[in-house]
Amino acid sequence: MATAHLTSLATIAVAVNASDAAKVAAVLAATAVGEVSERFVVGGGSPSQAAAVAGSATWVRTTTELIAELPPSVTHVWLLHDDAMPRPDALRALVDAAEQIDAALVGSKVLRADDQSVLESVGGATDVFLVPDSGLAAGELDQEQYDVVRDVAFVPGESVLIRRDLLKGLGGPDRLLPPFTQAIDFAGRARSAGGRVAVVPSSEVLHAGTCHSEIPSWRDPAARWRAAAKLYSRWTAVWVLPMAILIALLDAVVRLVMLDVRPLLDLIKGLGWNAKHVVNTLTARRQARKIVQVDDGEMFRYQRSGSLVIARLGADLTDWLRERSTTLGVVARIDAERMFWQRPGFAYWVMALLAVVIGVRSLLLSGMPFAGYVLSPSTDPLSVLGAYAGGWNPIGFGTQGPGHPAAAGAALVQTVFSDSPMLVIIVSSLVGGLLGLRRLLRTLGIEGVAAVLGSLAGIACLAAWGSGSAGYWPTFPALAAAPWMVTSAVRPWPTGIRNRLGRLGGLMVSSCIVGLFVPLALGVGVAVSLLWMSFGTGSRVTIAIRAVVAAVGGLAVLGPWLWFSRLSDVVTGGQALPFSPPVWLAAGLALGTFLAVLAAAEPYTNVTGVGGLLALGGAVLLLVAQGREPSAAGLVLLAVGVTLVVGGVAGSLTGTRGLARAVLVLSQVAVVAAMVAAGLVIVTGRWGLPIDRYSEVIELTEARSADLPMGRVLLVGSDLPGDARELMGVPYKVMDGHLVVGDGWLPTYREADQALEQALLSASDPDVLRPGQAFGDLGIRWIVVTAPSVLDRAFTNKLDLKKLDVGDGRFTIYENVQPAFVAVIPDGLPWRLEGNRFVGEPAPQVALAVNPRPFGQSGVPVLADGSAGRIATTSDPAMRILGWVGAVALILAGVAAVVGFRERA
Amino acid sequence: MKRTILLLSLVAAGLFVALLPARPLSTIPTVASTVIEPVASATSVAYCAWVRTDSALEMSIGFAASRDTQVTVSVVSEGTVAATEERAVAPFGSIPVSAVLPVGVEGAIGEFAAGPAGAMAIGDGALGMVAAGCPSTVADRWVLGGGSTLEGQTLELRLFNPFPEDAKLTIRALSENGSEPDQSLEAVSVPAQSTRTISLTDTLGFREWLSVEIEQTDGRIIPSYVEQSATGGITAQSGVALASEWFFPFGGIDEVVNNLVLVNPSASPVGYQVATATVGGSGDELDRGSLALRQVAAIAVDAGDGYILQADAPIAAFVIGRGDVGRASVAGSSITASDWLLPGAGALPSTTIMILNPSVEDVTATVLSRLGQEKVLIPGGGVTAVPIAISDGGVQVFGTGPIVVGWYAEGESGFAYAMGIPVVDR
Repeated sequence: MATAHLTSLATIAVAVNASDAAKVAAVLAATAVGEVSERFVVGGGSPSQAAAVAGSATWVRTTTELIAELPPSVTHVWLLHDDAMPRPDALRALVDAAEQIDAALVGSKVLRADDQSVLESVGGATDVFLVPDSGLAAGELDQEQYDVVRDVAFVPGESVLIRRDLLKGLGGPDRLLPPFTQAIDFAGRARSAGGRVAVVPSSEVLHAGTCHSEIPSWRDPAARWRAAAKLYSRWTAVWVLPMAILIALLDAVVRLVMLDVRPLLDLIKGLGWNAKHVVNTLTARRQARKIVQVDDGEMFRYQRSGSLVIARLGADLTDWLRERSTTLGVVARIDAERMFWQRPGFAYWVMALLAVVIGVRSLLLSGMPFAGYVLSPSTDPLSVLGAYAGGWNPIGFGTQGPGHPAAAGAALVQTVFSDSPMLVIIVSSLVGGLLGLRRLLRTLGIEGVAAVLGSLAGIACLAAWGSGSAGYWPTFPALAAAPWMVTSAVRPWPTGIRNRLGRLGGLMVSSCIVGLFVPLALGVGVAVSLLWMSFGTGSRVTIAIRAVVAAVGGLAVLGPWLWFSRLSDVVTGGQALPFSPPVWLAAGLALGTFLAVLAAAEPYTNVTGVGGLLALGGAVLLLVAQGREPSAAGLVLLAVGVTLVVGGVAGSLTGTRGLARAVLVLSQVAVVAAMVAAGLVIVTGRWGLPIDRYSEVIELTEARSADLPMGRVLLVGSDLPGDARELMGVPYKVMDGHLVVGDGWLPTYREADQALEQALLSASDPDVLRPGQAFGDLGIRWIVVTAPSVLDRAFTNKLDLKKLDVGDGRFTIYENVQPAFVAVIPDGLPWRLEGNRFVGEPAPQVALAVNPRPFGQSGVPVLADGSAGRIATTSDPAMRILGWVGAVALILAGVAAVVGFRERA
Repeated sequence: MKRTILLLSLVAAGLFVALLPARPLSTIPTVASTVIEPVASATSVAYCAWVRTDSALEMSIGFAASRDTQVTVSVVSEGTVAATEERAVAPFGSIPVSAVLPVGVEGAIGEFAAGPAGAMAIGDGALGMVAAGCPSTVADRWVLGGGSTLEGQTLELRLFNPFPEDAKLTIRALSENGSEPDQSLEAVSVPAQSTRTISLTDTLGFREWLSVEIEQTDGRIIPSYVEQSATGGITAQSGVALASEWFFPFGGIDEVVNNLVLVNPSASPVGYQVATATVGGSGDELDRGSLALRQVAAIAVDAGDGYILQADAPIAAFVIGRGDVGRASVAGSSITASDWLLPGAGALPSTTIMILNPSVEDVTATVLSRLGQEKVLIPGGGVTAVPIAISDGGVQVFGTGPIVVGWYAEGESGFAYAMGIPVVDR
C-alpha cells in the first residue's frame, strides 16, 4: 500500500515499499541540492526510518507530523514519490516558476524512467466527475511540445512544490486515495482554497511507476467520488455524485454487452469502499470546506464538458461494433455516431431517456392501467376509423357521430401496433416530446444541460398536473408533436423547393397529430409564435403566417369531427381536467421566472419570459375552462411554457458574475422545483397515470360472457372511465363490455339514453323488483357500482339483478339475469356486432338496443329487418369525404416530410 | 423596455392566476347509500317467508289493497321460481297455497301491479291456527323474539332468500339469560332463491324467550320463526327492525298466558315504560324499567287492553300468547297511520279487529270488509274491539286520525295474532 511520500526542502526521502530502502536512499541522494534546507522521510516503517537516518534526514510517521516538525524558516515543501528521480535542476525550475507566476502549487513534468523520451504526465484537465484527461496520446514522445508553464486542473503528484501555509491548510494529500486521484484531489483543494496550480515542464522527474503498479482498477473511480464529495459545494455535489454513479452503471451495463464484466465488479467494489468510508469522507469534507475561498466556478474552469467515461465508452463501443460489422454502410454510420456520442451533453440525454424508461417501468413491465381515459384498445380498429369517416359508431348506444378524433388516432396506431397501442403512444410521446422540446429550446437559443432539464420538466408537467391523474392520455401525443409544430413555424424558412416541401410536410404532420389528439391545442403554436414575435427575435410576419398555416393545416384531419360537433360541445363538453399544482412547485416556478427575467441576459430573459406567459396562459385555461378540450389545450400550453421557463432559467447562469449571478442562482429554485416534481412523477413508474381500476371488471365480463356476446356495462358512481352523464347528481355511463378507449368520450344524448334514465328512475322505486327486463332491453348485462349513491336502490334487493361476489370489494357488480343482448331475434338468439354492422342468423326482425338513427326507425329497441343475416348503415357522405380528405392530406404531408428529410440528409 | 413589459405582464398574469380557485380531481359528491328503513307499510310487494300446504295445515295467502289491482304469486325454491299464479285483488283477494305449491313448505313472493297493498299467510288445520305476516320491505337487520325451546317446543328459524345472489348472515342469539353465543350461527349462508332452516331447539334448547338478531353482510333474506308445541299449536312470526316506540292494539286473548316480550340486542341498557290503553281510554302505566344489554324480558299483559311501549333506544317488542292448545306471537307496530290494510282478516273463525288510538283526541274509524262497513269510536289513548264475521278475508280500516290496527282469531284448533299493514306515504 502506497503511503504518503513527502519531503521538505531539506530532505527528500520517500518510501513506497518499506522493504525498498534503497529507493529512499537514492532519492535522498538526488535531492542533496542547495535549495534544500531540511529533509524528511514520511512513513514507510522502520526500513525507511533507517534509510532516513543513514541519509541524514528526519523520519516522521505522517503528514500531520511533518507539518508540525517543519522549522519556521521553511517556506515551501517539495513532495516527492520515492519512485520519482528528479533531474538536478528540477527543484530550481519549480522554485523559479512558483515565484514568477505566484503559484501556490507547481508540479514537474514526469517522464518515464525506463524511456526518458516518453511523456508520462504534464498535468491536465478533468471532466466534472474528476475523470482525468492528460491530453497525451499513449506513448507520446517528449518533443518539448508541452514546454510552457501553464495553469492546469491538476499536476502529477510525483513531484510537487507547495507553499508551506497551503500545505498546512490542506493537511497534505488524502492518504485514502490512490496516487492518481490523490493528485487531482490535492490540486483541486488547493485551487478551491484560492491557490494557483500550474505545471512547470522545465522541471523534469523520471518516474519508475511502481506507485501505480499495484493499484486495482476500481480504486481510482471510487476515489473520485470521495474527491468530488470534498471538492464541490453542496448544490453541485448533490447532482454530480448521483450522475457519476449512474454513468458508471451505464458504462458497466454497456460493457457487459461487450462481454467485459470487470467494470460492473469495479462499480460494486467502489460503492462498497465509499460506503465503508462515508463517515471519514464527510469529516474530510467538513475540513476541506473550511478553507474554501472560491466557488465551484473555479472548479469548472479547467473542466471538459460532458463525461469522459461516456465518450470513451462510445469510442470503445464503436470499435467493438466495427470489429463485428462487415457492411460498409454500417461502418460509415458507426463513424458518424462516434461523433454524436462524443458531443458534449450526450450523457445528459442518456440520463433523461433513462429517466423516461424508469418513469414508465411499471407500464413496460405490467402493461397499461385501465383507468380514466386509458382503456382497452378497440376490438376492431378499422371499424373505428370507418366510424370516424362517417360510418355508424357503436360507442354508448350507438351514434352517427365520428367519436373523438383521439380514438381514431389510437385506432390508427393500433393498425400498426396491434398488441399494445396505448403503451406505444405513451412511450413514443414521451421520447418524442423530450426530443421535440429540446429542439424547440435549441431553436430559441437554449443548449446543453439546460435544454435537457427544460424538456424533462415539460413532459413531466403532463403527469404532475392533472392529465396523469385523470388519465387523459391524448395530451401526451399532443405535447410530443406541438414543439415540432412550433419549431417549424419559428425557425427560418429553408432554401430549395425540396427542403421547403419537407418543412411544410413536417409542419403538417405535426399539426395533424396535435389536432387529432387535442384539437384546440392547434392554437398553441399560434400562441407561442405570437409571444415570440413580441419578445423574441426573427421575422415577425413570416412567423405569424407559418403559425397560422400550422394551425389550419392541423384541421385537415378534423373534418368529420368538426362537421358533426357543435361548437358549444367542443368548448364546454366533457369534464375539465383537474388542475391543482402543489404550492411549492407553483411558487418555485414563479419566483424563478421572475428573477430570471429580471437578471438574465439574452436570450434567456426572452425565453423565460415567454415561457412564463405561456405557462400562465395554460394555467388560466385549466382553471377557467368548463370543458375538457380547452383544459387539455391549456395543459399542453402549460407544458410548453414550463419547458421554456426551466430551460431559460437553467441556462441563464452561463457567463454571469456578481449580483446578477447571485440573483440567477436564486432563480434556480425553479429548476429544482421542476426536477423534484419530475422526480415524483418518475417514482410512480407509470408517469403519473392513474392506478389500474377497471381491468378486473374487464376480466370478469370477458370470463363470464363465454361464447355469448358480451353485452353492455352500466357504470354508476365516482371516478368513472372517461366522461360520464349525471342522474340525480350521480355520474353514470354505458359502455361496451370491453371498456374500449373510444368509449372514453360520450356520444350525443339520444333516445336510448333517455330510456336508460327512465329505467334507472323506475328501478330506484323499491316496489320495482324486476328492473332487469328494462336494462336487458338496452343490452345492459353488467352493472358496476363504483361508489355508494342514491342510485344504489335501483340495484339492491332486486329479483333479477344478481350481486356478484367477486374482486376486492372496491366495486359492487351486478349481473342481469334477464336476457341482455345488444341485438337479438325473437327466439332469443343473439346477433353479434362485427365492426360497424350486426350479423347473425337471418330473421325477419331483429331487436337492436341502439339509438334509432340512422336505422330509420323510432323507439328503443329498434326493430330492423334481419332477413339478410346482417344489418349495416350507410355512412354519412359528407363525413366520408372529409375523412378521406384528412387521410390523403396526412399521407401527402408524410411523404413530403420524408422527401425533404432525405434531401437534407 | 422589453424586459420591463415582460416583467409587468408576468406579474399581472401571475396575480390573476393566483386568485383563481384550483380545480382538484373531482370526486363527484356521492350520497351514502340509503339504508332501507324497514317501514312495515303497504307497498306493492310482499315476502311471505313461510307458507305451507299439506294434510296437517293448508294455508292460504290473503291480499288487501287500497285499490283494485292484480297480484302475481311466485313460490321460490331451490334456486328457481317453482310456480307462479295471478289473482285479482279488488280490493281483497286470496289464493290457496296449494295453487302454487302442491305440497310442502316454502317461501313465496306476491308482486302487486299497483300498490299500496299487502299480504298475510293464514291457516287453520290440525297443527293449529296461524297468521304469518308478509313484510313488504327488506331490512338490513332483523329481530325475531320470544321463541320457546323448552321441553315440548320446537322452534325453527327460516331464512328465505328470494334474490338471485347468495346471502351471508351473522346471527346473534339472546334470551332471558342474556347473550347466547353460538358458533354455528356466526357465519350463515343462504343460497340464492332458496330457504334455509335452522332448528334453534337443537342449538339453543331450554330457553323460554329465545330471540335472534340477524345482520346481513351480503345479500338479503326475510326471516321468520315457526314455533310448534307438542301439546298443539303453531305460530309463525315475521321479523322486524328495531324501534323506540311500539304500539300493541291488544294484549292477547283470554284464557291464555300473554306476555309483552322486549328484546334489547344492543350493547347498552335501555330504559322503557309501558302504558296501558283500555276500552275507556288511556289507563295506568303497566311497567317501567331498564332492559339490560343483550337481554330479553317478558312482562305479563292482560287480554283486553292495548299497550304503548316507549324506550330510550331502539328495541324490538312482541306479544306472545301461550295456551294449552295453541300459541301465537306478533310484533307490534312501530308507526301509526290513518289507513290500514288487514289482508286475511276475517278468514279465520272468531276474528276481532282491535283498534288503538294513541293520541289524546277521540278518533272515528270505518271498518270495511267484504260483508259491509261499520263506524266505531276509539277514545283518546284507548282501544276498541270490532268483531267481524267470517268471510274470504280482507279488511280495510280508515281513521280520522292516526291509529294502530291489529286482529286476533280463536277457534278450536288454536288462536292467532296478527298486525295490520299501515298505508303511509313514502
